[in-house]
Amino acid sequence: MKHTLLSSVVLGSALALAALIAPGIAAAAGPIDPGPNPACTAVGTAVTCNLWAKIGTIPLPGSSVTIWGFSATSSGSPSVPGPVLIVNQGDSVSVNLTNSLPRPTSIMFGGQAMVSDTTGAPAGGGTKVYTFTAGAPGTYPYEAGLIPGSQYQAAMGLYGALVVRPTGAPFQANGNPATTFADESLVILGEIDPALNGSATPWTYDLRGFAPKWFLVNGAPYSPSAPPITTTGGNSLLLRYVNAGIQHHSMGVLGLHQRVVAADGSALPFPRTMVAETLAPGQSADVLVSIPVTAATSTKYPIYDASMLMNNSTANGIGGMTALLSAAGAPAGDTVGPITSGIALTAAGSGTYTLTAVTDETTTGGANIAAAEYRVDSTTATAVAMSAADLAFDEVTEPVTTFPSVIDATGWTSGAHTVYVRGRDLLNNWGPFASTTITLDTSGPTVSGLTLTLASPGGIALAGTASDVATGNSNVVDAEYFIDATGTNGTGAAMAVNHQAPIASITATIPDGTTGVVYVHALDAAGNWGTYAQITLGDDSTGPATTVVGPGLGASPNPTNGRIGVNSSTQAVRITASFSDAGLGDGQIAAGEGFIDTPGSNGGGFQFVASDGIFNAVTETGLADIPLTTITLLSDGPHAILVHGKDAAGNWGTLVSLTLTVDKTGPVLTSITASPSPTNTTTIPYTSGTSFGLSATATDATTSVTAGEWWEGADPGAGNGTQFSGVSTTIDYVARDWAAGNHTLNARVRDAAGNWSTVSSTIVAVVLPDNVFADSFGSGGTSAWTSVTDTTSALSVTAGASLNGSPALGMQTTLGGTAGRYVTNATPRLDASYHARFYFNPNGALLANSGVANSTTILSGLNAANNVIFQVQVRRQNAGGGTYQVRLVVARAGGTTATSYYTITNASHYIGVAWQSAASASASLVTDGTVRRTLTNLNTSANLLDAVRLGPSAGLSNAATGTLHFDGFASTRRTATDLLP
Amino acid sequence: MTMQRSTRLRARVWLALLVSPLLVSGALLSPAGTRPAAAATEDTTKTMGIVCTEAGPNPTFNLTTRAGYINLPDGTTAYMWGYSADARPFQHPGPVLCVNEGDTVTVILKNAFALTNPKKAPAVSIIFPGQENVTANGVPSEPQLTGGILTSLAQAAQPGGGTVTYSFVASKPGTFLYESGGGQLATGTPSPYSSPQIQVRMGLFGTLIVRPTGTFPGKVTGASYVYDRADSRFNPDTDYMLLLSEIDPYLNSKVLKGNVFNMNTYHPRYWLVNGRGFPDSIADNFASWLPTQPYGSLAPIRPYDAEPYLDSPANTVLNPGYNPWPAVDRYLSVGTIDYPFHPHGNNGKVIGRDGSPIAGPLGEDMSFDKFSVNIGPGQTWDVLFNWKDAEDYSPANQVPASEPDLQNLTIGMFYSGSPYLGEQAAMPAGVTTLNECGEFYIIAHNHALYQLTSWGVNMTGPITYTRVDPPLPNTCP
Repeated sequence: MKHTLLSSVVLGSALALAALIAPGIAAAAGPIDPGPNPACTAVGTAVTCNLWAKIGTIPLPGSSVTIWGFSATSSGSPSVPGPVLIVNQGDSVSVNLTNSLPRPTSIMFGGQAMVSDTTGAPAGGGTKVYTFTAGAPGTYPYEAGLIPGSQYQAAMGLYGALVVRPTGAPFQANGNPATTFADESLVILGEIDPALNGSATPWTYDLRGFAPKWFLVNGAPYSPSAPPITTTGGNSLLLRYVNAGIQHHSMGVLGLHQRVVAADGSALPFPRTMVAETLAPGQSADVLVSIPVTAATSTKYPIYDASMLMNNSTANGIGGMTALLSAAGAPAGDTVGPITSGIALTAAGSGTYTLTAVTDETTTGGANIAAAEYRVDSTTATAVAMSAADLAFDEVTEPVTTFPSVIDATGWTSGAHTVYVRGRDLLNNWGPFASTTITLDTSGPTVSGLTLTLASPGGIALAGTASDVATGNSNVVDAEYFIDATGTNGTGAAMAVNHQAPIASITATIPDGTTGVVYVHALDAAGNWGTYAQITLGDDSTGPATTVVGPGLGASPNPTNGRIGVNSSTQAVRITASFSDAGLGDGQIAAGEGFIDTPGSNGGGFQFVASDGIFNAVTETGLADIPLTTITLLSDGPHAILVHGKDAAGNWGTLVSLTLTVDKTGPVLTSITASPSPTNTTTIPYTSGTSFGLSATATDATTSVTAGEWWEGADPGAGNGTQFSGVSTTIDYVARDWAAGNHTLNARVRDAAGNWSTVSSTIVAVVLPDNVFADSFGSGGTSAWTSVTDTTSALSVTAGASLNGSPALGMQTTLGGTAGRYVTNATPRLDASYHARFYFNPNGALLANSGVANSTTILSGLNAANNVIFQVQVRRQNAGGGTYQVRLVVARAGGTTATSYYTITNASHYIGVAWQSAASASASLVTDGTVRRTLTNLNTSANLLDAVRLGPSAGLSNAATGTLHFDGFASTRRTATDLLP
Repeated sequence: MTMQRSTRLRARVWLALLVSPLLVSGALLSPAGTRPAAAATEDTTKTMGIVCTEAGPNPTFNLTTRAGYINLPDGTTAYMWGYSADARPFQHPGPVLCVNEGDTVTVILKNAFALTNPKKAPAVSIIFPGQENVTANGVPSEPQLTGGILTSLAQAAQPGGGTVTYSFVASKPGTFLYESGGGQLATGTPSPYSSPQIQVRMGLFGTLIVRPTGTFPGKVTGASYVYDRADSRFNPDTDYMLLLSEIDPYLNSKVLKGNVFNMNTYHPRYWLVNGRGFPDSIADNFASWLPTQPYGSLAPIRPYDAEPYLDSPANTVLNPGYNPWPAVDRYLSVGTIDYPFHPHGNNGKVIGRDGSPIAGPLGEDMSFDKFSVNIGPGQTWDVLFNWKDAEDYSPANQVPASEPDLQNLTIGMFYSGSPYLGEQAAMPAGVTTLNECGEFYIIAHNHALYQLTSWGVNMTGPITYTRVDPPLPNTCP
């Protein structure tokens, strides 16, 4: 199939490879060269471009592939990418497309304002003209476009770059002087899947299977024939990236910084510097790189996909999405020293080495080698000169050596050491350091974790760990032990090494009856015996002592109810005990065990584990978990937990007992009592209590009652009520904002083991305290009040407004305007009985214009719906002048009832109000201690007091002037005594 | 006993014959060293956060090629190549080289591969993307053409102990990659593994961190800053690396066997963070069961708290929970496609990319908040990250929600039993927890969810956690 297609291509194999490089991407310094036959010709600002869409081929390393591409001439071969279109910003561009393909095709121009072409030029010679005004300067893709079913066409090679230059600034990327360049190059990215391109009918190819094998820069995967992009040291090079493929490509320029000055043709006001700039399909980017002035001739920088997309299909080596930048520059003189290689350290004697290396100047200038030196462990360590192996530094390549001297390593630590070597040429250039690393092992392994255990049959098992990790990291190869006195290395009793590794287990069996100090050491593969570790093998016939009481010891939880574990993840009661063989033979603790209530045979109890993970010391703490499923089988009451330990000699100690109390039964709650109930039976005002006590009568058969909880309403579940300790608590019903009336309280208690009792309840009759709220403005402000309503800033606390003298401050409100100006107290708790008094001085204020009878409310009570249920009003008898008068107005069923107006002087007065909620209620107005009037038979039962306002709140007039003074406000629920001054 | 003794004597004679040269050369060496160890240092006691390999000012690092195996979350292993410092054994990924801005950094690469072990071993090089004027053996480090054929992106070290000395001035602070630029044998049958495409996929990569040393008014930067900018400050105790990579095990097994891999069939099956997949990724640095994968990625932080005193304005009692500086997440990718990574719990603040602060030409702060960070191949992103206890929920200020029935809940293994930071409560019966002090665990992962797998084992791969510890003082171990 593929052969058939290739033979049908007219242009075929006759073309030289170079001729297939698309015009415009030829790699030359300076601006982009559109080639001898540019696609576009300009007449003024009118630019005409001609593109022919054709079938052709492009070469790939070792093969070629069919492409669909664009040509700038009717007779030319199509190229991938297509001819570059270079226009100026604002040019009127016409692109004439002639379609020689077997299918219709169209072109879309990235970033240009134009109507999309969704019909295209017909197959077999059809034409289409595209016109647009070149937009913002920058780099854009053009590619086969939007006609239905044409998605394969761009992947076939129908793409290219559109370059829009800023008018009058051809050497700037986008009209910003900061984007000035000396050289520029297109970097157009693409991919080829030969399965698509090789298809005779690519329009039937299922692009879900598109899997590129070739990755192209400017139409070619990297190969030795790919021309480099050339530039010069010191130049600024503009790379115009266009991603015409279907994958993201993350493009880097190794060794240079990429400054991204535009994305998709849009200038970036703040360029970003990227190591790897990701281009999604269809995206473009303008990137500036600065070539160092110091770049030597033909310095090369790779442009590459940083995902290392460097394969040419299945070929070995580097290809793919890679291109080379080649910078011309001044040839460098010989400023580089020789390269050192082949460093070797050869043992010359005991702990001494001969160092050899080769210094070579052939690729770094060619001068003769003049000197060489080495340093140990650091390139800043003291240098030691080396000599030429042939005793004369007189060649370009010179083997060097320390001979006849040697490196004396006898004082070096065990471990890795690095020797650095470098050479110098006759022009005094030192070359770079090369290094080699040797690992010295001058110390033997350390031995740790020695244990002695009774082995069966007979003998005592000696075990430990030998490690050379920190002392040279050689394998441990042997170990031995001595009794009581160390001897010559290698003459002790042998120990077995489990495997030859830097860390190994060493074991031996000591004959029964042996006593004394056991000395153990080990040998590493470098021949170093390590230092001795020791363990005492005593005459131990006594078992260890056990301690079960003390900080951190004992049972937890204790008492236990069989349901709560020692912690959230362990459903067990934990027994913690300390075992010590100190002074009892000094053997290591080997085991611990426990019994419940009845001692069993040694070794037959439940086992303890060591708290630190392993029983290997003379004194150990161990723990054992008794599952709750076991605990629940025990009867209520005390149980003995019997614990003892075993030492390495196999002796079990004496059993020690601790008491674990099992209590699975909850306490019995006989009753709960609230006292006092009703609350606040005292009649003395202002000193009433705000809390009551709640106490439970409860007993527990096995342990004690330690906690309780109470709640009102639905049971929140055990443990979720309000906690109290023991059997009583105090409840502050005022802080809890309880309403007056009966409250049903429930409580239950818990014993020390965590069992809850049943629930009991009681009723507390809450009577709220007499005192409601009082304030003489002594704070200097109104912060004691629930809220302040004062939109016109008319309200303030001043010394001039003080009316009762103690403290010398009062509240004043300036008149003028109809907005209320008052303070609110919301302490009343839907009260049915209320008394309030306050000092008031009209202070000569005009309450309204002459001729207007204006009653201004200076105290009002409100219900929960914020309706006024009583109020005190003030007016001047003759509106605009005359004497001041006050009255009380009370809301009742069906309307309001008011007292008459009572005259007061233009001075401080003590005004009181008594109000109640009842079907036949009374209400009184008091001035200066005299009851002016008591209204009776008022049906106020629907009204309950929720808040009180002091200060002008209603009936204000725009014409009012002057200042009203208030002071000494106090209120009570029940007692009226304070209505008298 | 007698029997045992004679066996042992025979063993000793045999041993002495075998190792006698070593015994001779080593026996006279003084055990008391006077010379400091040569190796670059690495703090192997640091359990979490970036573990730097450092070698003082103007450091010289000796990197050696090694081959070994790593553990993958599905229970398999992968054959890998890597760079190791000095005489250290194989590790993956390479050591995190930490240097200071302005340092002249020298990296001496030694290719310890033998020609036949690994099979068909190639030459190996190192490239330092983002560094300018890198030299190799004193001349510019640049692509190597042999007979017109591009063989590597930088001068390469030949197998059998060949060395190349790279040097550059670390002129820009930030986070960078170093990786293989490939390398072909100087003589003989070409290696099929010369391309950096294969060598990087095999694990020849690592992280280079350049710490700023510049000054700005009133401050000197350093290890508490990412860049030479005041607004790049972070808490140096919370410096985290997320180096993202991928593995196609068919490639690795072909390399192990010395066979040619068809790169057209490359298809990753594993995705890793710091060379580990979840749950290995949240294990401590140097976890003993991951002997060749030393770097974890669990990121413990504490809640943001900018109040230095408990009793403002008197300012006499220091606030132990004071934690005004964010953590930094240094993302790097050596993969083949973009990795959209995000830590849950807050947006990160992107302050730099590819070793350049996100700033205008006059230093204008152009950093931005971003939830999902799309890390392209070869890119690095520096992202500051805070966790703020915004609602201040606690047992006294409860979440206004009712808890679902237990049968409708799945309890995670890190749950504290309480929804409140620093609180622990009883777990439902039979449920155990790894929670230690009421800390939170918030997932951070690659949101290309099809990559959260290890060849089909779901919820593995590039996942880690941000661990939010309660404010100090806390009861955390």
